[in-house]
Amino acid sequence: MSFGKGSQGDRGATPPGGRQPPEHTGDAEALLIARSRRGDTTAFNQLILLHQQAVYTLAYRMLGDPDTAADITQEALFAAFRAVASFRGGSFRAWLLRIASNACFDYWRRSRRRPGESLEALTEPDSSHEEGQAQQFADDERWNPETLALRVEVQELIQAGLARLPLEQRLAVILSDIQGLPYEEIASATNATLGTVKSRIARGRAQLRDYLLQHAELLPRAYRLKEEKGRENG
Amino acid sequence: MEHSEHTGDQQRAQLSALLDNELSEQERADLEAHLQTCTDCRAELESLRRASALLRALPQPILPRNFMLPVAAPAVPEKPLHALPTARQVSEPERRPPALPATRGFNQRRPVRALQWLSSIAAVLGIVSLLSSGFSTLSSQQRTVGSVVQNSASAPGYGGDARPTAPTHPVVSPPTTQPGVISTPAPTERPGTTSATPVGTQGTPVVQQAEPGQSSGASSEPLLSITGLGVLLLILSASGFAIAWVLRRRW
Repeated sequence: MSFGKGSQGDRGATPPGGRQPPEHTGDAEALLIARSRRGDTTAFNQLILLHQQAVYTLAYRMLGDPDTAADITQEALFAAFRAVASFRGGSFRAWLLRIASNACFDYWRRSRRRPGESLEALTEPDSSHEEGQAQQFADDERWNPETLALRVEVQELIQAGLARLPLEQRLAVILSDIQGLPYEEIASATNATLGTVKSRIARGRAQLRDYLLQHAELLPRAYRLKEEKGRENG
Repeated sequence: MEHSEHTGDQQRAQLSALLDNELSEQERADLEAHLQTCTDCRAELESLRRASALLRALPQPILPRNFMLPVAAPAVPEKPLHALPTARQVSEPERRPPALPATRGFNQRRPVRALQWLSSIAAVLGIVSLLSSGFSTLSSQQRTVGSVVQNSASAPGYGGDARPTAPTHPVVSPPTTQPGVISTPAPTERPGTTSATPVGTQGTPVVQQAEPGQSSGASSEPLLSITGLGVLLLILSASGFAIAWVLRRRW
């Protein structure tokens, strides 16, 4: 019996946004980066075409608002063009996502209405993990990703759950589960150690799980009916 | 592994990392051995796997637009000599061209349009004042004739005659009639009606004779000035149209 990601059959079918192998800058991309360093906007635009979806997705999942995400994406890409000379190799996508995460954090700092609320307040997790929560979530068929078609309501619920996570956990979870970056790249993109990344991802997932379980009643009626019928039959 | 660790952060981090294939071979082997016997950890692993899978199943948001940077082009003549050391310097002049044609056209055409509007208004006002002065001269001439005729006739006839002149009369004659009628400081229509009602009720020929005489004699001066104003307005509007036309051709 093995529990690892790679060996588990149900994780075999990788969705579009799924984990990808560690990405290193290819020759074509390296050429585009070199031209971008000399101020070639056309070359940098080619890089943008390759990575704009990842940058926008990160901003959207971090901030939850399409307009703000678009502004932050544009801001991050401008910043990346300004700073492209400082790119020192490795994954260009991870480097871009790092700039985008910084832009999200900057936006968050700028837009804070309550001055008393500090970054630390959101970076420390509330470990309100209830006993048996994991078992409940693991057993509850409503939350089975294999059978749960991600309808708009469910997507909104997951996004709301993400928005409840402390920023650094949110970022780690998005970079891991949505962007599919390996821990090493997440560590470099978030300026953290591997241990911290591992811990943030685990806490983020656990907190999201708890949130989803608390809001099962928000699931579309169809799911609940199915469940109730299932219970009756069983 | 102790049972107290099961809900601990470290254990959960290991389970979560197992999902991501981020454990060393040794760690993985140890954890898998433990999972064979521990239902709590299996539940924890499964619940974390679900949370992760739900996130991974989220569809990618649709890009609202293309985020490519505007390519540097010598569109703005003031700043082409600058090099392109930073994105901000590139982007700022380049960001404008999409917006510039619209705003520039709007800003430059606006004064021309305003001029055309003003000229049209001036023309209308000029024509109105010319017409009104023309009408009032006509009506005052008619009134002198009418009043002479009706002086010989009875008083009720005059009341009927005064009504049609009332609309044009107040526009022209307020300054002239007001000094005559002391009791009414109110402007415009009042002089016409007040002069008509005492005539209708009292029917004294003295007032009737004095009024037409006054209006025909004293109103010639404002009539001239209103005609002048009308002509001036027409000239202004013509020149306004001419300037607008010249400006349009130049742009």
